[in-house]
Amino acid sequence: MSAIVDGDLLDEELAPTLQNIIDQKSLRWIFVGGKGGVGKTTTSCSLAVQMAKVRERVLLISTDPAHNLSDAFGQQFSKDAEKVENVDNLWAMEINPTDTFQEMIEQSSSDSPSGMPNGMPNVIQELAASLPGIDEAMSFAEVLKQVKSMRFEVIIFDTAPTGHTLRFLSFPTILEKTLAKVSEVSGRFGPLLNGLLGQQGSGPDNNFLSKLESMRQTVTEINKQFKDANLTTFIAVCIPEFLSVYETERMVQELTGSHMDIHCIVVNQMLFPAKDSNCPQCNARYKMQQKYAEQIDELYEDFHIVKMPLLTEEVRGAEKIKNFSKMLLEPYAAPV
Amino acid sequence: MISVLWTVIYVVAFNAIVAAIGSDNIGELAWVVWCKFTPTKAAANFKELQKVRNEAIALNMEITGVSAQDEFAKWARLNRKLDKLKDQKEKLDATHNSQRTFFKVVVRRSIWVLTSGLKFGVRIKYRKTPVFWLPKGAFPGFIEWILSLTSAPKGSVSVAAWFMIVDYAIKGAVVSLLTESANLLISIRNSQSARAPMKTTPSKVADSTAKLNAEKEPVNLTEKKQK
Repeated sequence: MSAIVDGDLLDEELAPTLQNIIDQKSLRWIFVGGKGGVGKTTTSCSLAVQMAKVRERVLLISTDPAHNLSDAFGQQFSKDAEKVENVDNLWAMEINPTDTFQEMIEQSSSDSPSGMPNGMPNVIQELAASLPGIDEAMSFAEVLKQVKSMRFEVIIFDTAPTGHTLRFLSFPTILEKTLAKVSEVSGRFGPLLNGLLGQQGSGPDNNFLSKLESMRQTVTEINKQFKDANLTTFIAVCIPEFLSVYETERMVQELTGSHMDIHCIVVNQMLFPAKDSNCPQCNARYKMQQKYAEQIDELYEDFHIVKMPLLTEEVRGAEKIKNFSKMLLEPYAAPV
Repeated sequence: MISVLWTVIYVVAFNAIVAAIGSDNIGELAWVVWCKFTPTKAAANFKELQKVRNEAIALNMEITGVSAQDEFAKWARLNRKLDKLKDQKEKLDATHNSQRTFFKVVVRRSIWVLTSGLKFGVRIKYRKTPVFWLPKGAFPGFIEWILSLTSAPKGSVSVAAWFMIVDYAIKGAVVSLLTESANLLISIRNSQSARAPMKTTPSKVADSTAKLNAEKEPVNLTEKKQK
């Protein structure tokens, strides 16, 4: 949360733009999260486009299994960073948490020097893989490791819906617990199991365990960065409807609880019907949206609250995103 | 030697009472008293916990009165407060529980010292004292020898033997007291159900008679033993 200590500042409303994010040159990680279907992808793409104007080498990553980046930019992305056409300084990639983990397991078994017989299950590895949350934790760590080696200046995450987003914050703890358990179990039963299964030595296990260990170090280090408000911030995206606002409140509380910085909320899909509009649905919805928008303003008085209008067309393709993204910086003026 | 005789009876009776109440219950009771009436840290913690609990309940009531849809900001603020209270409550609860466990362990140990320890002490202290003398020639020699175990003079009843006898008697008294009162209760119930037969189902009657039989058995056993 932004630190407003001065009494004078309290009366002043915070600028309803994301200009502060663009201006904060120390930022390295930006997360964009919220309930499904509120426009996370549009927002993160727009932010990335604006970010790319002032920073060199910006990376946009989607961790949502339902990938939308390709759709938004009209360009096929893969799990390797690719340059976004028509936008300078911007790269994008899409990753799938579960796939990455499967690949990693396969890789570590094929790497094993002892040459495990085919079809022979590696008990310890199976055990480690079955621990809850480990797949996401590991794949996330793997991706972060890759990303770190690629020297991007800013990394923007288009995250999966809220539940997933919050989980990665507890990854270091999960990994630590997992590691302790795995090494305990393998220390106790490893020789026995290997003896029973007729395996010589524990090459594959060690390989897997050392991989886990290096992951843990990466994750612990990155988690430290995530908790640094100078390096990392979270942007909540919501629409002015009850469930979305509720989810946002929950997210804000959890993020604050895990010491992550959040001081921007994007309220998406605001309706601004013309004064003489005789569309009853629009007017009714406008009324409802205004109610929640007011509540948001009241509740998050120390946040930057950006209100984005609902357009009459889909925001697709680099040009449209560029146009849309301008509204992140200049408050949208409703047509009178 | 009348004092040793009565000391043993008191000690055994005390033991029986403690066993009947249960040392766990005594610990619980002592803990409640401790929390309410002593100026200790534990008591302060308990009072704080109660305060927080009451606040949380009041807040909960308040929240149910606020519409989440119409006054989201107010509702969310109240919920933040409630979350904070819940956190606080959890912490206080944890300290309270650990304090209680510790306290109950202490109580249990002191109860042990007061009951079993006391028994043991009395037995050791008066091991050479005759509790009372048997009339000469009333019992055969080996019985006199057994009754004087471990180290009381022959022809007298030793503390150890006296303990056993009193223990047996008091336990029997407690059991018969319980069965008698159970019998009384059952007979009252039976007479009631006889008056209003519609209310009791046959299975219930069968149940109570089964209970009656079950409770009668130990009495029969003790009677046989006494004979």
